[in-house]
Order: sequence, then C-alpha cells, then structure tokens
Amino acid sequence: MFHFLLLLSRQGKTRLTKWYSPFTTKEKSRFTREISNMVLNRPPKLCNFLEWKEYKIIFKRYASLYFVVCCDRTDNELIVLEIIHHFVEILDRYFGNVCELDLIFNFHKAYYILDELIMAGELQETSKKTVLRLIAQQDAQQESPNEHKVDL
Amino acid sequence: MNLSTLNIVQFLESSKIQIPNGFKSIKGVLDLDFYDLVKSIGESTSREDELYIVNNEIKKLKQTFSKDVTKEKIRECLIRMIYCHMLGYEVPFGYIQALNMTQDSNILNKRTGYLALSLCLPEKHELLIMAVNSILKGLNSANYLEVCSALTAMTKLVDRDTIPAFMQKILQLLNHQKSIVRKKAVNVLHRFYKLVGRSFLEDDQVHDKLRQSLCDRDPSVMAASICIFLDISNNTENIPILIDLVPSFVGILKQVAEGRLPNTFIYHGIHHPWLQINLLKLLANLGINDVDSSNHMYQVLLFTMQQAQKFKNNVGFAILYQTIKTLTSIHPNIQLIEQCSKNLSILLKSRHNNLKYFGIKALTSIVKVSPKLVLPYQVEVIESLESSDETLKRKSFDLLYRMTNQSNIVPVCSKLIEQLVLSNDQNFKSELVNQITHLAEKYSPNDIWYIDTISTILSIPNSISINDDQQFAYNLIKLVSEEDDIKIKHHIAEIFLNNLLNNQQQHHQQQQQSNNQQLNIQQYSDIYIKIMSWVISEYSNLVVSNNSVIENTIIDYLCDLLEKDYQGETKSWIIMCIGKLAAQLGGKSTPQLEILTRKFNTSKSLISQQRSFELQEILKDQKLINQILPLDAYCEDIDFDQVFKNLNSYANKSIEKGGKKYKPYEKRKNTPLVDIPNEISGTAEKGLNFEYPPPPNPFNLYNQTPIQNQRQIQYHQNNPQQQQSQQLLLMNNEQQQQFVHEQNQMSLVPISNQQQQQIQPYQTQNPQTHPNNQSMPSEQPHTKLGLPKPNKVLWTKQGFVGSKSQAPPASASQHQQPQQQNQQNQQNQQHQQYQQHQQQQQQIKNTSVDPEKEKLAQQLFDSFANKLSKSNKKESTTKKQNQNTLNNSCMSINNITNNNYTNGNNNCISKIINPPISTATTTSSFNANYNNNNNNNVINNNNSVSNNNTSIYSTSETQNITISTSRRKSLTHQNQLIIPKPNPCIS
Repeated sequence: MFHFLLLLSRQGKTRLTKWYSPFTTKEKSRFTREISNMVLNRPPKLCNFLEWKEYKIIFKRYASLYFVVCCDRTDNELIVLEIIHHFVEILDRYFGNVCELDLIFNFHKAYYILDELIMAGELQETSKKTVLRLIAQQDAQQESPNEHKVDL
Repeated sequence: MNLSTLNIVQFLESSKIQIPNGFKSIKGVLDLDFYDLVKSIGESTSREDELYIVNNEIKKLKQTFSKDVTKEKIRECLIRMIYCHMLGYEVPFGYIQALNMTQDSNILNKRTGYLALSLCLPEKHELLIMAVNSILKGLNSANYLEVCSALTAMTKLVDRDTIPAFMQKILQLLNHQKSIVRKKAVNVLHRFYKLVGRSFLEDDQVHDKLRQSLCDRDPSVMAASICIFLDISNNTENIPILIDLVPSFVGILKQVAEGRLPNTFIYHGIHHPWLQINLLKLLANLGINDVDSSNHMYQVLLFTMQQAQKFKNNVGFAILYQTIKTLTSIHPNIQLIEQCSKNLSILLKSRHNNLKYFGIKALTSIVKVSPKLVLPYQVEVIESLESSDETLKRKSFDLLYRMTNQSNIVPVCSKLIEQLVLSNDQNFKSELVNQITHLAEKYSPNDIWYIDTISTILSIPNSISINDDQQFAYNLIKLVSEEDDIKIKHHIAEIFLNNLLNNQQQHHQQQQQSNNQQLNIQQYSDIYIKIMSWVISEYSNLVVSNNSVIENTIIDYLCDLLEKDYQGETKSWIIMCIGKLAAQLGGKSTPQLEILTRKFNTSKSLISQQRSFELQEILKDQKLINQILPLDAYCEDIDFDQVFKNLNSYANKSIEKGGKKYKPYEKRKNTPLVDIPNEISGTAEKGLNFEYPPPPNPFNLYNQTPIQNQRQIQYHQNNPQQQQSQQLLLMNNEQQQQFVHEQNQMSLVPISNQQQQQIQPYQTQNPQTHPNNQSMPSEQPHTKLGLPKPNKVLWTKQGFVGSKSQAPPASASQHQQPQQQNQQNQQNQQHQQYQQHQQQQQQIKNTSVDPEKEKLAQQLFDSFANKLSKSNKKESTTKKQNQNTLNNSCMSINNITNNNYTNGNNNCISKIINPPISTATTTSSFNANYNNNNNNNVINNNNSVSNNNTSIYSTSETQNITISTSRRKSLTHQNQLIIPKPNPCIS
C-alpha cells in the first residue's frame, strides 16, 4: 500500500504531494525534506529503492522530475516502479508529451488523474483509455467561457 | 497578454527548466493570480522568501473568500489554496469554502471542492461530519461522474464515526450499472475495512457483497476486491474466513496468466501484472503451513512464472520474484523451488542494481527453505556485499545473516562487524548489533570467540545507542562469572585491560601533541564502560596479580574516565571498580581515593553519590573492606534469612521507642513520591539545578537507602518467618541520632554471633576457590534469592543451549559428550577442508574470479555444500591446522579494531584446543545449579540495574533502612545495598 507520493523537481521543489496515510503537517514537511535529500543526492546507476524508517522509498527520475513513492516493506518494488511509469504514461497521453511545466500549472489535473489511478493507496485502474476517457468527460462538462483565463 | 508571455520566458530561464514548447501547457486553463503565485515561488531562492510569498497569498485568499465572488473565482482560490498546502502551510480558513463548493452543480467546481477537502483536511477534523450530507447527496446523483467524484473523495473523507451513515448506500452502489462506480464502491469498502478492522467482516451482508464483487463480470471490479481480500489475509486470524476461496483465487490467477482478460488490461505485454502480484501475495498468505491449499497452487504458480519469463522486463521480473516469494512462504515444494532458483541467474547477473537487489531478495527467501540453493550464486552475493550501493549491500547482509550456521559463523560475524565499523547509519548499526549478538548467542563455536566478538562490538564507538537492547552485554557478565575455566576470565580481563591501557596511552599522547585534538579520541559507550569496570574489578588480578604499580596505573586511568562525560550510573560502576581494586591493593585509603570520594559525595547522580559514600566508609576499615569486597565471589549466594532475622531485634527495639512500622510497598503507592526526572544522568542536567539531597552528613545514607525491587518485597511478604523483619524502622532525626549513638555504645553491629560464623566459612573458602575459579553453588537451604539471571540466555557455556534443533544431526549425537567443543571445531574444520577441494574444482570451471572473493565465498558458503556431502567428510585433520584457521578467525576480529592482544589470543586458543578435562566434568553440576536458580525467585539482572534509581526515591519518603545483604551483588550490580552502620566492626 502507498503511504504517500511526491513529485520533486531536481532543485528540490515540491510539485505534487498526495498522502494516503495520516500524518501531521509537521511530519509531512519533515518527511518531504528528508526524502528529497536522500533521493536527489543519490548517485545514478544505483538501485531505485531505499529503506527508510519502517517504509520503503521507491523513486524514478523522468527528465527533471523525481517521482517518489513511499510504500510498505512488503510491497514489490519493481511493480511499484511500474505504477509510477504507468502514471507517467497517462500524464504523457493527457498533456501530449508532458513536461514539468504542464504539471506545475495544471497540478490539479494531475491530482484528478492520480485519483482515478490510485485509490486508498492501491492501484485501481490499469487501462489508460478508461482514465483518459473519464477525465475527458469531466473536462467536457465543465467547458464554459472563461474570460479571465490567460489566452496565449 | 504580451506581458505575461514575457514573464513566462523569464520564468523559464530563471528556474532553469529547459522544456521545449513550454507554452502549450498553459492553454487557457489558469488564471493570472495562480500564475503569479507559481512564478514568484519558482523565483524565490530561500525558505524565507517562500514563507513571505505564501503568507501574502494566504492573506489575499482570506480577503477573497470573505467577499461575495463568483464560483469560478472561488474555485481558482481553492486551487491556489491547495498549492499553498502542498508547500507545507496550514490553510484552515478555506475548508468551509471547499465544503460549499462540493454542493455546486458544476462538476468541475464540485471536484475542486472535494479535492481541496481530501487533500487539506487533517484526520478527525470536525468538518468531516458536516461533509457527510454533501457526500450523500453526491452519491445519490443521477450523473455517474458526480457519484464517482463523491466516492473518490470518500476514500479520504470518511472516519470510523461516519461509516454507518454511508454503509447502505455503498452496498447499493455495488450493484450500479457502471462498472467504474462498482469498482470505486469496492475501494470505499476497502477503506472501511482499514478503519474498522476485523469486526467489519462480521456483517454477513458485507461478506456476501465482497464475494459477489469477486465474481463481477468486469475484471477491474474483481481486481479491486482482490485488494481487500489481500488486506484481510494479512491478519492471520482471518485466514479461516478465506480458506475456502483458495480454488477461486487459483482459478483467477490461472485465467489471468493465460491471458483471458480483455486487451485493455495488457501492460507491457503481460495481462494485469498488478492483479497477478496481488493474487500471488494472497496465495502466499493463505498457503502458510497448509498442505492442502499449497497443493492446489503449485501448478498454477509454475505456469504463472513460465508465462512471466517470456518477458524480460521489469514486470516479468516482478512476477518472477513474487512467485518465488510465494513458493517459499507456502508449504515448500523443494523441487519447484529448485527449478525457480535456476531462473535467478538472470537477475543476479544483471548489470542493473534493481535486478540484483531482487535477486538477493529472492535468495533471502529461498535460503530459509533450502540453503544449498544459494551455492551457485556465491560470487554474485559476495560482489553485492561489496557493492557501493547501500540498499543492495544491506539486503546482502540480511541474506548473510539468514544463512549463518555453526560452520560459517566466524567469517560471517567478522564481515558483519567490519560493516558495523564502516556504517554511519544509526538504524542500520543497531540492526547489525542485534544480528551479531543473536548469531553469537546461537552459534558461537567457543567461549573465547564469543567474548572476543561481544567485547569488540562493545568497543566500537557509537555502535550501541542507549535505546537499544543491551541484554547481550549483561549476558557476557553472566557467562564469564559462571565460567569455571580460569582461562576465560583471564582472557576477558586481558582484553579489557589492554583496551583501557591503549586507549589511555593514545589519549595522553594526543594530549601532548595538541590540546585541540581531544575531540578525535573515541569515546566508548556507557555500556562498554560498565562491562569494563566490572571485568577489571573482578578479574584484573588474574593478569596483573600483585603488581601494585600497574594496578595503581589502572586506578589512575579509571579516575580519568570519571572526568569524562558519562551517565551517573555508569560512573557509579567505575567507582565500585576503583573500590574493589583498592581492596585488592590492601584496602588502604590513598589521597587519590579521598579526592575522588570527596568529589563524588556531592555528585548530582544519586547512585554515584551513594557509591562514593560507601567507598569512603569502607576504606576506613581494612578488615571490613575485604569482607565487603571479596575477591572473585560474584557467583556466591547470600543468605537473606539470616540477615533479616538479625535485623528483627533492631526493628523491635525501635518500635518500642515509637518508631513507625514497616509499610509494605503496595500500601505506600498512593503517597506522593519525590520525583526528579533524569536523575541518572549527571551530565544531562541543565536548567533547574537544585541540589538534592545535601550530602555532607554520612548518616543521610539512611534516608536514601534504596529498596530492593518490587519482587524482593513480595518475597518478604510471602515469607512468614520474616514478618518481623519488615518492621524496619522509620525514624525521625532525633531518633536516628539516638539510634546511632546507641549503636556506637554497643559497638556491635547488627550481625550476631551466629551470623559471624556463617560469614567466616566464606572468608576461608575464598582463597581456596579462587585458583579453581569455581563458582560456589549455594548450600544454604533457605536461599531464595539466587543470582541475577538474564531473561534469555540462548548460549551458555554449554555451547548452544537454545538451538540444539538447528545443529546438524551428525554433531547432535556428540553434543553431550565431553570435549564437545573441541570435536565440533574439528568437524567444522573438516568441513572446510573438504570444501576447499570442492571449491578448487569449482574454480577450475569458474575462471576469472577475484581470488579474494573466492576465498570469502569459500568461508561463507562452505557449510551448505557440507550438508550436501556429509558422508564424504571424514578426512583426518591435524590439530595444527585447526589452530591456524581458528587463529585466523579470531585475528580477523581483532584486526578490525587494531587491538594488540593477539598474543593472549594465541595462548587461549591453544588452551581451548586442548581443553582441561575439568570443563567437561563440571558441566553437569553447573547445569543443576543453573536450573535450580532458574526456578527460584531470581532477580533479573537487568531489572535490578534499571530499578536502582526509582527505588531510591520510593524509599526516601518512608526512610526505610535496608540492609547490606548482597555483598557482592551490591558491589557489582549496584542493586540494593548498603552498609548498615558508618563504621561497623565484625571481628
């Protein structure tokens, strides 16, 4: 089971956090700091797993973003890596060649996608199409003229 | 809008995010405020900047919320609020707005509201109850998207109290026509189960629904229900509920592995790998110790693995590992596991550390079932032991720990200790210490090795933190004190003396070189100092007997240690040690000791203060000192009955004079106690520093006499003979002075003639017992209080008492014969020798391997190969070879810490190889004694030490007088203690 998921930039800035287990605000910020130290300073080519407290940290870097997952020690690390990859693939489909900026400015969208994918700390949807269809339907329902949006 | 375009370009450059076509993402979705916020946060360079920006933003948000604005505006504010929350700031002001948004008709507004609530709301917030209505409304909506968003939010927004409100609705939704709704409803049920626990399953309706969703026509719903079943099966109590479903789970796994699911479930070529993994875990849980269920599984497991192997990607390997894990958890089928282990080479020989890590993990689970299957991969294991990757290394050490047995304990432990020295991670260190001590207690080849290992661990700085279990150190004391062989005592005394002397010499040298380098000197842990003090006080005379120069140097060094930053309790051990050394030197009080006692009479640590007073008093009488601090009498028992009887006269006298009666501990419980936190640590006391208690009057000792631990008090009560002795006195000051005065007049201490006679035999026996170092079995029939016994002693001098079952059968038969240690060693060496042959053959096949690694592999893995070919192992080996290899093993430990007591080792080893027959003959008597003590009321060693301080306070209020009962124990363990009178004379 996932305890939390973090998206960190290479500079150590938080891009997205999702907590599945109850932690206090203090714990949350301490964990984020600790983990970003551990993950960002880890030399490449070592394995993507870290033992941390009673949990396990599994991370993967995509371009300038680190996707970090904290899960139970009994979880299968490789399959968790694949969940991360699955998430990235869906983001990529949705945004079309996703980049960090997409996630910065549409971070709530990323949350919606994540919510479809993982519920209560377990992976629930394996089909990219289903997730994308759901999100698209929601987008379609809310499309309405927005005057005050940035128009580029 | 030109301006904002420019800004974005600037932002991209400033935050150094190199993204081609960065603008495409900002397609008309975000508003300017949010953009500004993100931009300024991205530009901020320090934590203070960020704090300032976020605080400003929060102010703005509050203002906006207080105004009457459009829903769109609020939605944007909520998104900014979530952003602030994500950065780690509290945003309680927006909860209610978010809750209102969930009632909105626009689905996006609704979702944003739910998102804000589920992300920001802390656990058990009062708004959770208010959210119930709005969620229920969402669940009843006709639009399935609204239902979905409500269900998604529920996984976070439900707590135990609100579950009943939703239960019926969720069960209804399990029959919804849309499969996605059913799936999410199952997820919500999973959440309920996590909150409620086992009692959740007692509802039959829930149970039926769960099984129904397992058979759902949509595989995604079924997959979701598997998650719940997996969670349920993690609790072993629940397994009976699920055991009848094993055929269904096996069937599902078979179908998934065959590829019967629709193509949408294919991920990287494999059908729903997550479902497969979950099913494998589930089967592993259900098949533990269950032969029938396990038999169902073997075929499918094999099939699943074969299917997964077709894909050489992460997913395939993940399933491969999980299958092996399952196979080793359920009732084992060795053939199958053997077959699987052949597939591991692809993982272990991979260049990627992730896969190596998985290979090692798989080996770790295999080694439990069939250790010999690790053999083909020894080179890979050794390589990953030396890997630069910390995670991989730890896993390999874990593997090493699990495959340890009698034959490879020595190289394994030296490897673990090596790692202990190198590692910086405190968690990892304490794990290593646990592992080493556990192995040493279970498989130790001989006493000398055990002592070497434990003392090496103790002497590694920072290896043991205060919170760790330190029982193993006390076990060492127990082992040495109960050991009859004087060489053992000699050996341990040598180790600690050398350590002390070397360390101090280094210390002095460094001090001479530069005063600033003092910080570099290693500081030993508290527990090490305690053990060292005890060993030196008891056995240093074996090494440096009658050499007063050296003994004085030792005292000097110990005094230096007292200057350092140790806990008060630790210092009290050192003081006792100095006291005993002084007794051995003839019991004369030297100026040095006077300075010492004067200093510690005012120590903040009560226990060291008390020891200091005791020492001061004892030193005044040279005859007394040898009685109170006898030489090597640690294991002798004390007759409490006699002591208590003799005190009755005191108690009665004082009651006649109006003293209070003794009040049992239970009745005293409600009276307030003086409670000073942290009283042990003389160093940690900062802030309020009040002096407690004023020490100069030695009679104050009466006020502070610690009481025995609770167990001992119960013992008092259980023993009717001692009813009277419980009337120990509680006196006020006047009475006390009178009392003391009286005693002086009588010039007789509470010990009667009868007791004197009892003590005398001890005195005369002591010199005799000493050379043989025989611990005195208790001969007094009334002795109820035996030696302090540690709770678990897996390994005593008998060898491995707790682990006979794990010894190979061949050696088990010889286990009880005399000189078993010797034979065992020989056997081990035979194994190793035979292995060398085997290894050499392997080497021929296996070219181009680093010889050092090969050697290490040989040491570590020999034992398993042994088991393969026990029949061939009867080659004769010479004792000389034995000695060499043993020497090497001991040396390897010593080298790590650069101690130079190897000479001593060599001696001792040769002695061990030819052990005196007395060891064998005394074994049985030792055993009897040991069991006897176990059955009696034994004070736990650890308890007594830890209870010291509390007991002092518990008695100070009632001013109890307790008696100096355990002469030796009080001195070594600092258990209940004291001199009955300032200056008693027993002669």
